[in-house]
Amino acid sequence: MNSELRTVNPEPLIHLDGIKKVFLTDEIETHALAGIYLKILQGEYVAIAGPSGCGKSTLLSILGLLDSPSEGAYRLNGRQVEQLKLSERARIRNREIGFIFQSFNLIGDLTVYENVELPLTYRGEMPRSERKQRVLESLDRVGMSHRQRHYPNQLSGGQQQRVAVARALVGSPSILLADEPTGNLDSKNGDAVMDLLSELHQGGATICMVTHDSRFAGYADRTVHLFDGQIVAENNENEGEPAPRAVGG
Amino acid sequence: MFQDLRYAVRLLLRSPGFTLFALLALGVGIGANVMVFSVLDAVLLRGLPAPQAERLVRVYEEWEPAWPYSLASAPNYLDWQKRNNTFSELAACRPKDLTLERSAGPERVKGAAVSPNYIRLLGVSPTVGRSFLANEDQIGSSHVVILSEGICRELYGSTENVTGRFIRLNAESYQVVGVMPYGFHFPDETIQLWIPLAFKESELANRGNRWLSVYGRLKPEVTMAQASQEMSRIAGNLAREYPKEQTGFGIRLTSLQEDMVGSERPGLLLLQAAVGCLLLIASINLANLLLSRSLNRWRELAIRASLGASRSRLVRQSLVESLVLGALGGVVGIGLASLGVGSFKLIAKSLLPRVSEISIDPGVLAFAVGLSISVGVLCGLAPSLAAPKQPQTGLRESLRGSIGSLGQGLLRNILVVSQIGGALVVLSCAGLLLRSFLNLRGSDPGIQYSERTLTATIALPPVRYQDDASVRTFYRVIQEKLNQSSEVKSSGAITFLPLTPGDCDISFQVVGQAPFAQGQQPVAQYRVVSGDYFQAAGIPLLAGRFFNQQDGPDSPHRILINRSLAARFWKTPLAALGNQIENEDGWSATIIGVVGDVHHFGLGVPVRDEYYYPLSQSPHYGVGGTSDALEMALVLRAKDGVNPGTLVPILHQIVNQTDSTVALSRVNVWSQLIADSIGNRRLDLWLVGAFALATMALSAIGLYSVISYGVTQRSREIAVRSALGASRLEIFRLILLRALRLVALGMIIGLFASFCVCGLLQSLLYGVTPVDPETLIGVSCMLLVISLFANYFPAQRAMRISPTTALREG
Ligand SMILES: Nc1ncnc2c1ncn2[C@@H]1O[C@H](COP(=O)(O)OP(=O)(O)OP(=O)(O)O)[C@@H](O)[C@H]1O
Ligand SMILES: [Mg+2]
Repeated sequence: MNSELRTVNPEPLIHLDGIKKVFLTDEIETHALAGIYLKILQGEYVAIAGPSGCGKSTLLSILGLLDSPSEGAYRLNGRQVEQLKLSERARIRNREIGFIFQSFNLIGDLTVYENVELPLTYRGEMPRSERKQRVLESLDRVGMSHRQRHYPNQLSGGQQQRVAVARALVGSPSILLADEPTGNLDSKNGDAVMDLLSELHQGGATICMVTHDSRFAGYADRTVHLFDGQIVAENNENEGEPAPRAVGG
Repeated sequence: MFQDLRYAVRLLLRSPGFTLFALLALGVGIGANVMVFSVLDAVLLRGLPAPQAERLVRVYEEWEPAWPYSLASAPNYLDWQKRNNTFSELAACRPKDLTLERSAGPERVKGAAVSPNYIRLLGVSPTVGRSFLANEDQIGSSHVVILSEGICRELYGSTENVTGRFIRLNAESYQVVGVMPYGFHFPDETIQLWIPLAFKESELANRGNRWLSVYGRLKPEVTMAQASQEMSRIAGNLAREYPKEQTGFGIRLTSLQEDMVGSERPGLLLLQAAVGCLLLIASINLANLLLSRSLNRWRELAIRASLGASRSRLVRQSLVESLVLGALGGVVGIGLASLGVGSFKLIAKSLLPRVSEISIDPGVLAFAVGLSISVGVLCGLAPSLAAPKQPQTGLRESLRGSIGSLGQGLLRNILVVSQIGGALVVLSCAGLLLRSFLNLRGSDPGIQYSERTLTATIALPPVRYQDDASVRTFYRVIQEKLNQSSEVKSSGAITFLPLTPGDCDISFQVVGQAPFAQGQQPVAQYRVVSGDYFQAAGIPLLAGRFFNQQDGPDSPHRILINRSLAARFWKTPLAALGNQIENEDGWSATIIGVVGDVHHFGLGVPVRDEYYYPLSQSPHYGVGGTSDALEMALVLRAKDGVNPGTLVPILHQIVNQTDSTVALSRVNVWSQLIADSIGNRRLDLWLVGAFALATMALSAIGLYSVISYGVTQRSREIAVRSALGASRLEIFRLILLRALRLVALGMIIGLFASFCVCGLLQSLLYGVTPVDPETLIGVSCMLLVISLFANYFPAQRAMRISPTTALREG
């Protein structure tokens, strides 16, 4: 949406500074994130890797404003967001962030079209015709426009995930967040989805993806390795400018 | 099977909260049904407690339209008895209050004067002693009495060695000859003793004086229709023989059971329908809960991949479980019902016929068992229907990653919609009853200050008050004494207190107008009044004057008439003054005043034409030829600011001073009697209202559980929506709107059903039409508010679902 802003903004799109997340369950504290320092630039494609339970999903949910950090600062698009009200966070999720889930999370009662339209319906002011245009565009980009009247359970897993990608794209977000987008797919369908993400990246999209699979991490510009809630290593797949890296907290 | 049973019990024990709710809902539902059914069964369905009770009939004289159900005169009764060939017995009865002298003082008891064959006709015999003998209906040998078991024990402590003893009734000695079995109180529950009915010369001579309740027992092989035919023929002959009294009179037969309980049928059926609805809704609730549980269970089954036989297994399992619930609910219900029946009998004692017969007998128990089993099957059916043909479909769906439900919620939604609809119907009925009740209570009885007025029935022993003068003196003396009391504002007396039972009417002609033809004469109610009755009762004078000292025994006959009678013949009250009427006994009087209409026969019951004459001029005390005028209701209005209750000791004292053998009965504040007169409506209202509220509560709980379950089921969908940017408010609205769609659909169906059902209530309504927009809107709003309330919590919970849930797998 604000592509003009993107090109002129010298700041990173995402700036995490000492993010910590502590879960309290039954008097037991789990330090899911123990001080994360991370910058993601406009147009970057970042993969987050690490063993199970290391905090990848937690990090992603903080990035996506689904959850708020226990400590630390988070600047998104130059704006401090860790203290925002719930309604404001919902607004930002709606406009700035596109989610892609491991288990697709399409809503079974809604058609493909309605699923993709969903984020736009939460904006209120957008006219129907514009919504329609955007939905069709988005479906077109993932090659699913011919299936708009189908229900999710009439689609294959790969197709469902492509619809989910279309839903993430429809609001023209600043960043796409994907949690193991291929986790529930066979390798052929998984490859297809990864190709789709690469394609979007080529087109300028900023992507942050959680993955187990080192093969898929290779699609990204940069891979951040997480262990016990901390970033322990980063490697750059391409020879571009090295991303800033910080360990400890 | 046994294994299933064990498993079911284990499952129920494992979720005690669910089980408790289920048992409570079912217990209340089944209990209410069993209770109402036991009433219905005892009052409406079961035969009267007499051998071959279906052969018992009530015989009325009939004169349309004034007297569709008229009592019979003594000569007619005797002629019927002589002339008919269809009845094996024909007996007469006259309920009357008697003064029983006890060591503590005189006391009014309810008795009945009956013909000697009356007890034989009913097919019941005394447990102690004997029935009346054929000759005991002769004056001189008629001073014998048969006691009910209740009063016998009250008097003597037991029923042994009581025959041959004497009691004093109406200041005369009566010998006890028998005691009736426990529970026998015919013709109504209040009757405590029976004496022979001995006709006086004057009664035998007066064919137009109709005062007897006549009962018959049909001969075997004779049908009601045949009996009707024969009696009509007899009526026709009598009309030819005695045209003056009998022109236009027919004879009407009704089965005794119908006669006793027919008027209670609409109310009782309504109650049964209301509790039926209650149970249905409780069952639907349970079905819904079981359905949710079974859905979880078949997912389990599917995941364990124990396919093949699992479906039938699941179906059987859920049936066994719900049958166990139904059975336990039945036990709880029977417990609650027996408590309920106990209290109902206390409350309804004077409001319904046959109340003492209400019990949870084997028939009612069978009903309870049948109900429990049906409820069990009904509740188990839903989960069985919803069980997937192949459990793996559920599994595939949950792995395929679409969230939210497709189709599986349909059954649950149908159930909720029907609950809401049912609740609305029951609520509308209750609403209509409430409005009718309020209308009735608010309706003008025609008297005023009833909450400040004390009334008491006074009875003079006939042997001590044989001439008119002594009666007049008695009433004059006590009224003088009462008026001297500083607490009494005014006092008077009347035969048959308005708004309490009592009916006596007579046909008449207007002097100077063209006479009406035989059989078409107008009819008016008549009452004897004394003292300042109209002032005490607050009945306004519209024209002319009230009675006063000038209207003595030797003055010209004078009467007051009500507005309704004045309007019928003279248009205005003023125009009626000075006119004369002559009644069928040839007694004529001049109209000296017109007073306001009084709803003598009950609140909301249309006013009839009426005239009053003064005790000082009453042509005969024989209202009904039975010296009933000796019984009058005293009406004492307290001075402003004086509690009418404080008049009670004063009244007792004055009456006791005047004549210590005179008994007072039904001493009460008038407004209380008026409230009692609509007591059975109040009872209906309370019961239907309570059941309606229970129905509404259950349907709200049902709605809550469905929506709440839906929120749990859809928590992932909600999280996803939230992750996609739906605000908390939008989530709240989403859930509420989903619920409201169901509520709205339910209400539309409910409104439609109400249109169909409420028409059946017609006979129970007063001042409100069956389809009453205000009531419907009112109860709809109430239901809507309750529904919103029930949905508030699930919606609130949905709002709090964290969007991070969307990231979790599984
Ligand atoms: N809501 C929560 N309450 C308590 N603890 C939580 C919560 N969410 C996550 N955790 C804990 O935080 C840690 C990190 O969890 P997270 O889901 O981020 O791991 P992950 O790296 O995504 O693992 P996986 O690869 O298995 O998805 C885990 O130890 C987890 O148990
Ligand atoms: Mg994870």
